[in-house]
Amino acid sequence: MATSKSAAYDYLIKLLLIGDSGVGKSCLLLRFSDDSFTPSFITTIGIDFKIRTIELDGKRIKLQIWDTAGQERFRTITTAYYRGAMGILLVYDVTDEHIRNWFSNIEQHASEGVNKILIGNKCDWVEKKVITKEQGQLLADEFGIKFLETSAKANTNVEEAFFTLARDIKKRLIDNHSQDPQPRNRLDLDPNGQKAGQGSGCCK
Amino acid sequence: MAKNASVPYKQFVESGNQLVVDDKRNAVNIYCSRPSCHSLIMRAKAGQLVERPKSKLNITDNDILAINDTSAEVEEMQQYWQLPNMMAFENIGFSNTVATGIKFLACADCDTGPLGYHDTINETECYVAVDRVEYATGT
Repeated sequence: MATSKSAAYDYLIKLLLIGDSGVGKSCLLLRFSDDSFTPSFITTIGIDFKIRTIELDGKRIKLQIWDTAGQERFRTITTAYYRGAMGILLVYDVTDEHIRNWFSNIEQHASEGVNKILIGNKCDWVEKKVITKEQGQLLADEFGIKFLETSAKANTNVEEAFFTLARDIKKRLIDNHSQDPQPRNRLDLDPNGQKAGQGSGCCK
Repeated sequence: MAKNASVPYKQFVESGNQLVVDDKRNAVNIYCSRPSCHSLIMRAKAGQLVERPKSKLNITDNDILAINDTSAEVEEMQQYWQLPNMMAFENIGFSNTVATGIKFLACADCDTGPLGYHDTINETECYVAVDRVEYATGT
């Protein structure tokens, strides 16, 4: 139930969605994306990031989730984009494999120790599937990260993916550290949520 | 996730006081107005009722191209819920910044919008248009 501590939260976790255009990154951020509905203003301008509030082990956690907003097409995802990220969802399309390049991009630019999860999206599309779940798992094992198959369309495992990553981050940054109730991580975000090299770029 | 019933703003026009409690804060939880979505946007008391220009919600080519409209007309105002910063939301989407420095707000779960705006040049606050969201009934 709503309380007067409306804006109160315990932790802020910054996540990035990484992967090729068309793998369904933006759809992972839509809980209700029935085909009949096309939100025209967003298709024009594009989403920069979303705020989601979840509860994890009794703690209120704000997820700030950044989408690459088409920049991936130009392969311009560099250190500036990764700055401050605590977790990365590396997304591929199970009907079309191209993921290794992104993993090396992350290795090159993201800060060390950032939590990662490999996401095989569109797993509902059985007849088009070219990457099996076993192949996805093998790849994740090779990278040394977790793995889930998701379907944004069928709402399979999407919430699970964000929770799994958030839980790992919480474990790494919070549970393993400090008894400090005001974790340092909260300060990683400036008040306007602006990032160097991002913001108005795509609309100019 | 429990889906509580909610009603549109226009049902409150006769008695706007129902919507605010102490200090002009929103009395109840606020949701996306799309019936199949109903995402929780902000909790009760997260926002404060203020007036800002209605035109802030307009998306025009001018926004995108940064052409300054210098018309001297008196600006029409409308009511918004003012939130101190982005973390005051439960669930919300921020659009890319258009040339005028505005980020539009969209429902986090279905991208419906603009529900409000955030002026990245002039203010740290965010604004949700009172008539573009729905209000929890009961408590």
